[in-house]
Amino acid sequence: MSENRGLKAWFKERFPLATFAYEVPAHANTFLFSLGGITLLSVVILVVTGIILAQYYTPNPETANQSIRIIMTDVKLGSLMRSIHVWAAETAVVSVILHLLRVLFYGSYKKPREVNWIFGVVLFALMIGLFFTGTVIKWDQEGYEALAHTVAIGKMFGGPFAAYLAPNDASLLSKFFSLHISVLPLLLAVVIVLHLFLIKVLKISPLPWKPRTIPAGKHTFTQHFVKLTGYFFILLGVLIGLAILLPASLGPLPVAGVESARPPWVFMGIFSIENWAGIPGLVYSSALVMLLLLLAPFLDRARSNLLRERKSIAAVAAALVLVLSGLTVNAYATKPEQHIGMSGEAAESAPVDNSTPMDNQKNMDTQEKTDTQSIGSVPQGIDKALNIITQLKDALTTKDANTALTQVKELDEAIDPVKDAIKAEDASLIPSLSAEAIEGAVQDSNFDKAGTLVAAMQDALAKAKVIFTSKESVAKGLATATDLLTQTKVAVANKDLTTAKAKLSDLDKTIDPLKSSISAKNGDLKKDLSVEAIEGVLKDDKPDWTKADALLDAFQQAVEAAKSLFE
Amino acid sequence: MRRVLVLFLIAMLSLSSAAPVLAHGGEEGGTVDAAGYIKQAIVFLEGIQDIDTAAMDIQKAMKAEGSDVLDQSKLNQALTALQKPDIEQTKVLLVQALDKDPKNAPELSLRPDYRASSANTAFLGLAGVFVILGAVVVRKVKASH
Repeated sequence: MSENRGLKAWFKERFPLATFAYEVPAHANTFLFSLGGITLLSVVILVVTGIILAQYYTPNPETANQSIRIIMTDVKLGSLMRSIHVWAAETAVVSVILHLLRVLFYGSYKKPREVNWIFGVVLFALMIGLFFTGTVIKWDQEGYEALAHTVAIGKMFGGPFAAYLAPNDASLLSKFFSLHISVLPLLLAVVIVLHLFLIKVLKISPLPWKPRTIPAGKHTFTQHFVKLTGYFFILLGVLIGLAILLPASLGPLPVAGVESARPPWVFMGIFSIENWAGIPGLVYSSALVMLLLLLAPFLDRARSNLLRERKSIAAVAAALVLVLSGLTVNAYATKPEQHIGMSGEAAESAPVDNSTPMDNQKNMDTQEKTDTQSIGSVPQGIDKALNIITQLKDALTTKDANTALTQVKELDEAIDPVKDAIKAEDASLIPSLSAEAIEGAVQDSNFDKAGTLVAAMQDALAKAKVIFTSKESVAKGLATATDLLTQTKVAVANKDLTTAKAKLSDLDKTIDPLKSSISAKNGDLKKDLSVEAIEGVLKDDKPDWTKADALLDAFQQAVEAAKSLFE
Repeated sequence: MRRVLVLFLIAMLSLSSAAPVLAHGGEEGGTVDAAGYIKQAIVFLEGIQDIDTAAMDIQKAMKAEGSDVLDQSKLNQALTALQKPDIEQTKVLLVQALDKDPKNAPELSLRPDYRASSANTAFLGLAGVFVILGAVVVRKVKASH
C-alpha cells in the first residue's frame, strides 16, 4: 500500500494533473459547449486513420484512384480505416459548423474573446480546406473537378496563387496531398493550441440569457475532460458502426472535358451560386461569408452577449443559415452547369489523361507520370500557340490590327518549331497552320476572314495536341511494359514461377489499356500483344520454361514494333 | 446594425443579379476520341445521372475517330438500356464496349456494401461496447454534478 502511495505521489509530482481541476461554469459541461471538443476528437481519429491510409496511398495522377481501390479491396482493414476516416471527416465538419453557430448565436465572441473567435473562424476554414483537399486527393471525378475549379480560381486571381497551381515539376495532386497531410494539419495544430490557450485564459463565456457571472457549483475542467472521454468512446463506436454499415465509396477514374459531379454537401450552397454566376460567384460568395464571420464581433455592437440585446445580429445569422440551407437544397435539385471550360483552360492544367488511364497499382513503382504537366516539348509548343490564339482572338474582336499582327508574328514563331512534328503525324492539319494567311487577312482589314482562319488553326492545334498527348502516354506505357517484360524474362530464366506469373499479370494490365491506340495504327499487333499463350504455359506446375521464354521473345518483338509506331 | 443589414442585402442582390455572361465560362472544345466519349458518358451517368448527355456522348462515340476499337453491338445495347432507363446496365455495357471487365473497371465507382461476416459482426459488437461505455462515462459525470 505504502509503495502504491509512493508511486502515486511520484506520479502526481511529475504530472500535476490536479491543475486541470479548475472550476468551470455548469454549462461548460453541456453537449452544446462540448461541440468544439467533439471536433477535436474527430481530428484525433482523422490523424490516426490518415497516417494509416498514407502508408498505401500514392499521390500520382495515374495511380492515386487505383491505390485507394487497393486500400478498399486488398489491404486488411483498409476499407474500415478509410470509411472511419471519411465518416470522421464528415463528423468534424458538422461539429465545427455547429460549434461555430453555437458561438455565433450565443455571442461568445463578445469582449474579450474577439481574437479567439477569429482563431475559431480560421480553424473552420482550415477544416474546410482539409475536407476539400481530401476530396481532391481521392482522385475520382469529384476530386478532379474540385481541382479544376481550384485551377480556374487560381487563374482568376493570378499572382502567387496562380503560380502555385501552374504546371511545373510537381504534379498538382502531390501538392494537394502535401497540403492535406502536412501544411494544413500543422496550421490546424498551431491554431488549436492558440484557441485552447485563450479559452483557458479568458474562461468559458457566459450563457446569453444569464448574467455574466460564473454560477456557484463544483464543476471542474477535469469533469469536462472525463465527459469528453465518454464522447470519444461514443464517437468511435458510432464511426465504426457507420464504417461497417455504410462503407465509404470511391468514384470513377476522372475523365477530362466534362463537369459531371456535384461537390460534397458542405460546398453545395456556394455551388448553387456558381451555377448562376460562375467561378466569380463562387469566389465572391465564399469570401463574403468568411468576411461576415470574421467581422461578426465588430459588427455586433451590443454591450453584452445577452440574446435580448442582440436580436438583429441573431436574425441576420439565422437568415444567412437559411439562405445557405436553401441554396444547398437548390443545388441538389438542379442540374449542374459547365462553368470552367474543362476541355479548355482548366482541364489542360489538370493532371489527367483521358485516353489511356493506367489501372495497375502493382507496377506503379515503374510507371512514370504522364499527366499533362510533364508532357514533352511538342504539346508545350502547341499550348503556347493556343494561348497566343486566345489573345489574338481578342485583338480581332476589337479590330486592333497592330496588336493582331504582333500576335500573328508570335504565333508563327510558336508554331514553326512544332510544324514538322505535326506534319509527320497528320499532314492534313498543316494547311490550317498558316500564320501568313491570317497576317494577309489582317493587313487587308478582313477581320472576319482572319477570325475564321484563326478558328481553323485553333481546331487543328487542338487535334494535334490530342494526337501528341495520347502518343506520349502510349510511349510511356510501352516503356513500362518493356521493363515488366524484362523482369518476367528474368523470373523465367530463374524458373521463379510465382514472380513470373505476378510480373506477367502486371504486364497484361499495363498493355491492356494501350491496345486500342496500338491497333488503331497497326491492327495486326493487337493479337501479338496477348499474354494468354504465355499464361497457358505458366499454368503448369512444371512449365516448359524454354517455350515460355520463346513466347516472351515474340511478345517483346511485338512491343518493340508497337514502340516504333509511337516514337 | 442597419448598416450590416444593408450591406448584406446589397451583397445578396449583387450575387443574385450577377451577369449570366460570367456564369458559364466553357463550352466543350478540343477533340475527343471514341473511347473518350464513352468514358464521358459513364461519368455523366455515375455523377449526375444525366441520361441525355450520356446518350449524346454514346452517339458521338459511334461516329468519332477510333470508334472501330469499340464494341458497336454493346454500344447499341447501351443506348437501348439507356432508353428504359436502366443506368446500371448501361454503365456495364459501356465498360464492356471499352473491352474491360465491369467487375474491377476503374471507369466505374467502387461502392462496397455491408456484408454479414464474423469480422463485421465483431466490429459492430465492439462499436456497441464503445457507445455503451461512452454513455456510462457521460452519465457518470452528469450524476456527479
